[in-house]
Amino acid sequence: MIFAFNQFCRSHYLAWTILYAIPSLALGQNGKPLPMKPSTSIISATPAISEVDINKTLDAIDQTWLGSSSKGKISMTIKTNEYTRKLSMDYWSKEKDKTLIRITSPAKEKGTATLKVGKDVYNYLPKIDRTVKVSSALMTGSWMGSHFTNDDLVKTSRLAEDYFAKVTQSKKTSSGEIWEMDLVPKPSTAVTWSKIHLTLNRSAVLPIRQVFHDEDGKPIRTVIFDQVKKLGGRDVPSVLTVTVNEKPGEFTELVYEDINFNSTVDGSFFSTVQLRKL
Amino acid sequence: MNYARQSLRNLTRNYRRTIITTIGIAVAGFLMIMWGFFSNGFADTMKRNAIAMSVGDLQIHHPKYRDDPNLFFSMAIAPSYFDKLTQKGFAAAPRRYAFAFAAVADKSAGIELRGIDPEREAQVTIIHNHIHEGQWLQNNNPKGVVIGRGLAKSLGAKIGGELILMTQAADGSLTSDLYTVIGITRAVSSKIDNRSVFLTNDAFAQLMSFPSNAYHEIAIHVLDPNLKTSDARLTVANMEPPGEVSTWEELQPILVRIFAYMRYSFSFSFTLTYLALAGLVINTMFMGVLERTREFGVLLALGTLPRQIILLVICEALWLALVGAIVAVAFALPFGYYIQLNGLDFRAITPQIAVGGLLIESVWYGKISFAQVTTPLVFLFLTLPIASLIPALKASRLNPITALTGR
Repeated sequence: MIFAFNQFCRSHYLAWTILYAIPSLALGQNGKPLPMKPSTSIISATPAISEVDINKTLDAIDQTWLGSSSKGKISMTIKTNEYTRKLSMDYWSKEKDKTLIRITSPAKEKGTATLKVGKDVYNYLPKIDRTVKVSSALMTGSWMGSHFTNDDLVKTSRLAEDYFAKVTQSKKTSSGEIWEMDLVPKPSTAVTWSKIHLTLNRSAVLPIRQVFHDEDGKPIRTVIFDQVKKLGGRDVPSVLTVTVNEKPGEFTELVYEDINFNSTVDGSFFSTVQLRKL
Repeated sequence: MNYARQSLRNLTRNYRRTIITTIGIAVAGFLMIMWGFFSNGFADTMKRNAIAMSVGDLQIHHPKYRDDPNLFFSMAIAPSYFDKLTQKGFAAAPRRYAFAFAAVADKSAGIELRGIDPEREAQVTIIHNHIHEGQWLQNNNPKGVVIGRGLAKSLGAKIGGELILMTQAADGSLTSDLYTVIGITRAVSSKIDNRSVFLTNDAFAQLMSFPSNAYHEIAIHVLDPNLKTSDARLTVANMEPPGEVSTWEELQPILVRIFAYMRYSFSFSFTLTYLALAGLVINTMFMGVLERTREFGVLLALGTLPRQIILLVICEALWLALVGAIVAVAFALPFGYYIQLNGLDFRAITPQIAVGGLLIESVWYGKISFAQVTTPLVFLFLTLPIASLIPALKASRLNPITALTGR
């Protein structure tokens, strides 16, 4: 059953940064972590870059879109070989485990909503006025028809805590110091990537690109962070684009149109009852 | 010496021994024939179920569909194409497929949507006869769906209950709708039992925003039972099909291997059965000759040559084989005919089960065939004389004095 649904969503893999970029949505994927090298700490590729520095940088990257609670507007463009569609959505989030996303356009899908509370994901279908819970077996299924999965909404992983990081290259450019890093999941991290190659702007403390590698070390997914803007008082990449190597020409593009960090959102807002009231 | 007459006279000299020996041979022959009937029927039923349940004799797909069952790899088919197939002696059923999400209350599952035309489907497959509860699809009830028993159990779905279907339509939009469960199938295959939701082609098109003349698959049943699948495929391929034509063997290579394995297994079990029965027959003949030591002693004392003794014993074996074969066939044919029509009902012991895509019925039907009758008989006519050879040789080498006096 999982295999069949995965065939439908086979190109819709985890893009942890995209979900992480939606406040309180985190990325990760079920799967057995690969046997790791017996590194016990973050290794710096160059003697000048300390372990503390790497930790702090990754932690700051993790915090890019986070706030204790937030709300905002995003638009998502999904392009496949068969169609192109654009969704506009409102979202609300609290910490890392509560998120509510509601489609505001197009009219056909207006009112469709996703609620994540802890590890549970619910979808509200306004056409039939029903709320369905996404079973654990369907977590790898596509979210909203995009290249994200339902599991992306559930799992939380943080670069600073869940990966062994190594700076493979550091160079100074006109826009700042650019780091190239290899991030390997720790044994306890439940993801199926063997490695994430991260390119970030150390000076601006912002991600530029992430390339996810499968168990064979082959790159299968790329996330590009672009168009840095001041949103909610912070400089954040406002456009995130994920492409899948297996499907050239396809992508999902997420655009942050508005973010309000630390807005007042009560925990009771995140309930299945609220899904229908919105 | 007239060996036939003499050997027959020898047999009639001791009716009790002859009858007991003949019964033993007849029982062996009967068991071999019946085992052949059952094996034949069992294999035939499984094969028929596997093909007729959902595969059909042939299928037509978009050239890329089998490697990548993509919603968009469909074929545009005009209604007149089905009429052309009918004229050529084929029944055809158009189908549509999509992956979706089914939910009942707080339970959900990933499923495969199967859009079918109930009327055409009934001409190609027999799945409409395998309803456990409720009824099959009706074209005039587009909101009615039929689900597999395993899926009904995992979702807690009941007849008359609500089923939510949610998926991504052909235009990429999220789509959902409410349906009513009108039927639950019996065990068919694990895919159908646990992961399938059947709905009408029209309902599929409406939910999925799917073109009205597009289909993913045409399943074809060859109406002429004497037409080989390979020949039928050639005929359909020459009719400008809208896609690639495949036989059931190409579509279900695992089934082909399973059936081949079954044939080898049956052949092996036949061999073992025949060997066991050969032992029974050899023992019967051996004891029969040993009991007649004095008689052979008399014959030898009267001048009968050793080779004549051997030929006499072999002729006796052939007579026994003949009578035993007649009795075996006389009982086996009517009984075999009965189980071919009515089957043996094991429903009290075992329910119908689906294993690895194969349906194992709980009512076992036999199938009479010429080979299943003649093979055991040929075996008897070969085995009995061979079985009697050793005791015949022993008898021919008897010392007449020892044989007569017992010392």
